Amino acid sequence: MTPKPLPSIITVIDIGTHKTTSLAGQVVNGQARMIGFSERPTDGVVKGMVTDLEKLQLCVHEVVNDVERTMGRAVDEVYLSLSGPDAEGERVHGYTSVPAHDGKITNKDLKEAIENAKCKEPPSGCVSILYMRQPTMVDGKPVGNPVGMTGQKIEVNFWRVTMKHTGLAMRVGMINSMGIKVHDFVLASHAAACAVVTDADKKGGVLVIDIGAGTTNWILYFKEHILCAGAISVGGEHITNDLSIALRISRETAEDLKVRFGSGVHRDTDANQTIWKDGDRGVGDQQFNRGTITQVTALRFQETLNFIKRDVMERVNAIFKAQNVELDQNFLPSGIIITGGTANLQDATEGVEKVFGLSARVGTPKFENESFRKPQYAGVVGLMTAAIADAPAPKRAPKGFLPWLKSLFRF
Amino acid sequence: MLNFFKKFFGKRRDAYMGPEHHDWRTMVPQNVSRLPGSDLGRRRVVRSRLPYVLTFLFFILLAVVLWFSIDEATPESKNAPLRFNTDGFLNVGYVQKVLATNPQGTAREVRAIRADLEADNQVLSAQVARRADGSLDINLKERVAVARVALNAPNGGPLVIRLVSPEGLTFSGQNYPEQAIRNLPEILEFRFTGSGDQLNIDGLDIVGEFLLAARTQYPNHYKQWAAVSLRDCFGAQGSTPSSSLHVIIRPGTQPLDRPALNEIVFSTGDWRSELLLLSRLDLEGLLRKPAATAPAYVLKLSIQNRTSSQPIPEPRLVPVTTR
Repeated sequence: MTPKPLPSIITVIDIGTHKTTSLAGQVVNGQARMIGFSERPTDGVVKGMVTDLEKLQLCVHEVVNDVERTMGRAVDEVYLSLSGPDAEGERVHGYTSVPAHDGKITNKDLKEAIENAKCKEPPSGCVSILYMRQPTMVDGKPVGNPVGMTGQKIEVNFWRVTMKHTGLAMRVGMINSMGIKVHDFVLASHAAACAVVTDADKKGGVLVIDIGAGTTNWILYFKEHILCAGAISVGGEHITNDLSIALRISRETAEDLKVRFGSGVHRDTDANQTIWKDGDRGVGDQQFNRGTITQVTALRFQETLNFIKRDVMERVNAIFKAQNVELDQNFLPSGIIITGGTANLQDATEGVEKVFGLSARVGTPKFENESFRKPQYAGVVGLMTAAIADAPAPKRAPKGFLPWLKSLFRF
Repeated sequence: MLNFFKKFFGKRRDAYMGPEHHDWRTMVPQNVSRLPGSDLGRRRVVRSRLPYVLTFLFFILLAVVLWFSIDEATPESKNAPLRFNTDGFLNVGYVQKVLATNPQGTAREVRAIRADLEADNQVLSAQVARRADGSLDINLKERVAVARVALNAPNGGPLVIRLVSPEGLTFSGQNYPEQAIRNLPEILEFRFTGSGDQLNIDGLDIVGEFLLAARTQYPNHYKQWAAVSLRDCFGAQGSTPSSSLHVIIRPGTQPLDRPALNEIVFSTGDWRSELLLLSRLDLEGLLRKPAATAPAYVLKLSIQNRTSSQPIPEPRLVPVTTR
């Protein structure tokens, strides 16, 4: 009888501007079963940039502590999300000529092309973090797996994510100081996409926009592969801030009004509605015109989307250069998926459709626990999905007295 | 110097050494601290290691329980093998004799065997353990003999010699070599009640401690002592001014060309300082002084002033007078 495989425990931490979440899952048959979760408001991060490392460290440490207490065992290593403009992306390209007389491509040729692509030096002071595979071409034609095919030239492309050495060392050092090792990084937009995008969407082409509190990350999938990704330092907090200034109210009240009455689209009929802050019309309760609220939120929301659109177009045009590519139904048949806390804004999809001219929908992560099927948890759930895909195969359970004893006491 | 060569021949960090060289794992080596500095970190470490500690303690406890359950409660055969060890003169025959007094023999509980062994005054303490194979491990610690007493047998038989321990108890001194017994100072002129191990001699607790101190700290003096007379030792009233210990010096241990020192008188209340004083005294010089004309002397180490409870340490050589 072959011994049963040991369940792997994977812990992921998503450090956002508004909240830090951690999820621990036990991987059974390729699926994660949640065994620990914690969410705490983030302290020490503004617009995706770390401003107070000590505060952030304490916050992350508390999240880890919560998760450990929930699952009843220690966290040894974690997957961290990478978000914000700190994580730069670029396309790297490598190629090699096929040396065989018959033009048959071997594994060695493919490896050589990959090495050639990875040889490109990252920007000064930056460190390569991730290489995300893009379509491989044989004689200019995209192929899935070139090994065994015939051709003269093989080209491989990667979307390389780099980061400033100092920023990365700070993140790694912060986690290491808690007695935990960083296993790997996952791009936040890729993580969000892993939670909400299907293979069919990827095949058709889809743009995933993860609108967080301080930053907005996006990723574009084209013909099954990642085409490009990016981030801007604008998010839901900017809408709250605008609302606070426009209505001369506190940020807390503005946040509350944004969540309850904010909208991605302003309609003329909104001006006819009067809303109350508390709703009891008592002393201290304030009344506002809903039209003002929707106008402010829609303007900022659409402005943010316009920034994203401009960023996407810049990067797409840089890749396709001479070809005049447009973000239309032909290029992205699966449309746009929005995730993140700001995706909860009323009529957010309509706002996206208005800006991009494409069909849009709110992405809810696929997860066993219903309370996590909300767009704001797409990041952390997707992080877990990406980590499972990356994690090594579970080990076979070893035989002997000591493993038996360990299993008895569930170490 | 080494840094100089390293600088020229070592890898340049600013040079691009290939894709592996710029991987974040190479560029940012991880230094995971095993014991995080903050309180929260320490709490986490304690919590994560607690199961291991508890398991370890559980197994230790289990081992202790098993050991004692085998050690003390397991009844074994009457003739189980015996391992015996002592720091004195008793032998395995003695132990077997003690065990044979009970019909259960070695199969008895170890506590009962230990109590039987410790009932003899010669045994200070006994460690009795039963091993898993049922055999007995017996380790004895015997009382040290510092003196001997000779008693008349109750039915007019020969004198019975008993040895004195520092605690003031007497014991039979089984298997003691004759020479060793003969070398011990004898207790003389004592008052006693009881017999055997229940023998109670007045002032023996004081003299036992006194002789032990002399034996361990001043062995050269102790060797010369033939007897200790308790005629002026008042036992429980040891601190009375006139209470004293008379140590009789062994004849033939002194040179013949000077007056002999027959006796040394210690007070029972202050014998420690007097022993120290004795060790510093130049007895040879004092006895060889021309003024020392008597054939024998008694050394009184303190003035026993009857009006004061504290004896004054002032050694004096007093000529021996016939009683």
